[in-house]
Amino acid sequence: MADIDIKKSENLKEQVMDKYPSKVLKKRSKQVVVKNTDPEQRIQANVRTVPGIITQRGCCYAGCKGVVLGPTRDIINITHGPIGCGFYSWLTRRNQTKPETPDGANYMQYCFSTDMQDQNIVFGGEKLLREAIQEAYDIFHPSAIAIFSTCPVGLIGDDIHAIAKEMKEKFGDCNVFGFSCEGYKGVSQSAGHHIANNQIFKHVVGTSENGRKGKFKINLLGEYNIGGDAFVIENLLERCGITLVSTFSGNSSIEHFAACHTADLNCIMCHRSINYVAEMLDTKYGIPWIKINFIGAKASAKSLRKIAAYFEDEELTKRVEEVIAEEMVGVDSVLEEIRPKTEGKSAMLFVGGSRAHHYQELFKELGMKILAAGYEFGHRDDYEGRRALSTIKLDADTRNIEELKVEPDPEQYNPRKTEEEKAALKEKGLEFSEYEGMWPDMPEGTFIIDDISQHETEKLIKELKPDLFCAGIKEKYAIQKMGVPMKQLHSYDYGGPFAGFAGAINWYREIDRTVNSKVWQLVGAPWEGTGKLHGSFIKKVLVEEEK
Amino acid sequence: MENITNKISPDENAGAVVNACKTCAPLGASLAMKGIAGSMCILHGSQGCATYIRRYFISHFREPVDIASSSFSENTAVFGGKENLFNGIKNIIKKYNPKVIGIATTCLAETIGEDISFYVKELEKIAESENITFIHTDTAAYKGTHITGFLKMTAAAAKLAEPQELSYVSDKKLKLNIFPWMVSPGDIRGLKSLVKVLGISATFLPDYSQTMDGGAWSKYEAIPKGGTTIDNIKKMGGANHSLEFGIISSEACSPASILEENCNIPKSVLPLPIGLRATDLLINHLKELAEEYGCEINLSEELQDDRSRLLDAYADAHKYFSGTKAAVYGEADFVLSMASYLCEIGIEPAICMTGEKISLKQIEMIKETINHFGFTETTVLADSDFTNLDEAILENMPDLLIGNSKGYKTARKFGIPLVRAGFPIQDRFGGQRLQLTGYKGAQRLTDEIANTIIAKRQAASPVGYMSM
Repeated sequence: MADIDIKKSENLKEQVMDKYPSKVLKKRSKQVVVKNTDPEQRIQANVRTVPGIITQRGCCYAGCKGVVLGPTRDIINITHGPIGCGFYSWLTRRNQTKPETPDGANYMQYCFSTDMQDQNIVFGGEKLLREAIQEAYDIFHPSAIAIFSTCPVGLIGDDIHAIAKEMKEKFGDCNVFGFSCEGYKGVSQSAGHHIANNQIFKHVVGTSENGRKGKFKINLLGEYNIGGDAFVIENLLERCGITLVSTFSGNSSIEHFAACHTADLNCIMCHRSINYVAEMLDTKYGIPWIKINFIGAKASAKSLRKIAAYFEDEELTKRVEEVIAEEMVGVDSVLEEIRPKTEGKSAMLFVGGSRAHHYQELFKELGMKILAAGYEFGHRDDYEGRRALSTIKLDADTRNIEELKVEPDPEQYNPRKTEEEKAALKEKGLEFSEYEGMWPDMPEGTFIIDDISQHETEKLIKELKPDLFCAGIKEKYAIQKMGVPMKQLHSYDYGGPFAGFAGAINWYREIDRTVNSKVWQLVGAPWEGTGKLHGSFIKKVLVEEEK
Repeated sequence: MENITNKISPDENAGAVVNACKTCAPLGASLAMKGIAGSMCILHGSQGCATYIRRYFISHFREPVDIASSSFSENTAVFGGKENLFNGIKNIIKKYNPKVIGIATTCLAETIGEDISFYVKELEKIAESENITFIHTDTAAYKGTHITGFLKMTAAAAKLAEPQELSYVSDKKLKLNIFPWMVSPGDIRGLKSLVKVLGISATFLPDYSQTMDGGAWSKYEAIPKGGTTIDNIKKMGGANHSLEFGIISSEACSPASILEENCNIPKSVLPLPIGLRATDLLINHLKELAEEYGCEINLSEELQDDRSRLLDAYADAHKYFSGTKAAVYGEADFVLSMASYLCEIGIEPAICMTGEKISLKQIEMIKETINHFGFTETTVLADSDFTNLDEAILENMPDLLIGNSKGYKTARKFGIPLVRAGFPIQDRFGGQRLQLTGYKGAQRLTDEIANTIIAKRQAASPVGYMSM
């Protein structure tokens, strides 16, 4: 691994940019930033992808149907469009779910599509959509059906919202709502997250008062239960005596969403995908939000303490400390064994809208250094923190995504904390509606890169030779072919969970397996003069040969 | 909830497809492009299409797969995609320096009426100045399936073939064009070595045997090595004959017929050579072609040995197969050949399901193929999905499922073992290397099916047994 400092990194940046045509160069140079000492340093993010550059980004539909609504088990999701979109988003994200009763509804293994054909594009697909909704209702009698528009639907003008309304009235016992999440909207899947937030808020939130009861009620926002992460967090909260009213949207049910306004605190994991709902819940119902992070043992402890601090209850604080102490025993012993093998190694993380930040906690615990990090679909506030919000210019792509106007509910608005109470808690270190982004955690001279391209990845790896690269499956095999170990942070390479204390232990072992794998030593055959021969049986042969 | 499927009947299934057994045309088109040397593919439309398709390929092939996109925004959807397309092409050239660029349209581009042939003049200009060949086709997902896209892009590439003199036939080698259908890289390698053994010189189109199943790199490769070169595609116009696999799909789109029309090269269409009889048919046909064109063919001992070993395997395991029923699903041509192979080893293909819309005549042909072996109770489902398969299974419970990973839910639900074959295989390793065709492919498949049946019996046996 090469040492990095601001000057060296700036030089490297220049080399990387050299390959780009001038127009691309102008754009990318604002999205590739070397962290320096300037407190006002900025990055350009959430801007259009350059055509022809191999982006890792998905589309609006992917963010809406795949990410936010995908993990909810009892909504039937109907993709309105040709077959591909539904097929590609069918069970590919590995979010898990566990119905509360064995016969509880679970439609996650189903992929409903209207499978539009030529004639539907020409004459419209509304009739087909009505039939599909009716069919889904007749077979499953679900409590909710959601419709997701794909590219052609927006263009031919099928009115999915009118059909949703009509079918909802017709059924009487099934909530039907639509998402205009055509793939061309916005600049990445991020637009789809926003659209998903809006529609869930409009059509579902606040429609039930039957939320879980408890003394300390929270919602967990932006946790999608990849590899069972949400199960670990649920277990932790339960042991602390904290009631989880809803999770957006890992291991979730529409009933949970409907009653989420009965919680007293919103805890945000993934700021990017879900901050809209948190903001709206605050405005309409008076529920404050805090940023938490259950990735990393220390971060998990800190998050639990933040929740306890909010409720200002001695008994809760005591229970939280007990749970943390219990969990840290296992964490410390595994760390003691593994940290000597990972200490000083380096990593790069390019993923998501929050994971590239959250996972830095786990690397710190392993004594590993971050050389470069960035998001695939983050916005400036995910990098620079919410201080950036006032200076984000609304471009045409963002303006096209509806911004819901929310006002305090005349009956249900009930500020859980007064401004004075909030100020007092802030004094004690509990910040409300605040996220500082990854910026403060990135050392000087490291790279912060938005929507990294294949070319930039290749150059950085070549020059900085990280011991580990974290991204998604699309990058995985190219990275491994360059001889660098790779860990997927979208689907976890089918491993996990990595959240909470139990997850941290899984992670330490996983990273040990990955960065200390012997397979990389086999690159190059001995007759090419590049390979090394290991093992006592080989030594014996060699010694005998020498004789 | 698991029992609801028995309430669905195919007639009521007009509205929704539930758990599809097909995917979209741009996927097939992108794969075909990967079989052309030095190529990059750009999908004209929303970037999600390229990302989803890359994601899908990568989890099956476990290789880096770069597919570009013209990344439409909302404005592009309104005002047209020309600027995005040409920007995209410019950036691909700068970064990848490709010899070939394939352009496939998506639903979005097609719905707003984008037609790549509008841009022919501009493309020609770039082709000349940058020394690049463009291949393009329209692949809206609302027309056909991934197989449609695969064959359309292959056909578009075949248009590059130029009529030429058969001046180089003096070596008495049969010169063939082979259109292998959407088989695995392992299959393409197997077929290539088969024709090599026979002493035939063949150009495969496409040939992604290396690009989609490569080794470790000593240095970064923007475009992986392998694939059919444009030069060789041009020379396809000088072959004796074209051979195309996929007797069902070729009725809708036949790349070999392009060579027939443009270069006057006769074609034959054969079923995918899965199993002994289908491979015999292929080799016998090759022998006849060699005779017809006055060429030599080497029906070597090695080949006879492979055939004989396969027969031996059939004989060894036949008692495990007899009385066994299987459900097969996937593309129609895959289903047809797989069913025929199952019949020859003594397994009854009780249910055959495809997501493709095929004609009644083609459905009858699948039935007849199976009937021919004395199995008369087969259900053939076309234009169907996995809920239709589940329903058919309730009526006629098979012992085995054969098809891609998407059938796992069904396998788990009914407790039927799944032998993975076809595309996509995302829950096992080695899908890219899986060879089904030729004697060797059938040999491997036969062992796997026998072992799957034995494993199930072994697990269910109260005593277990460890020796046969």
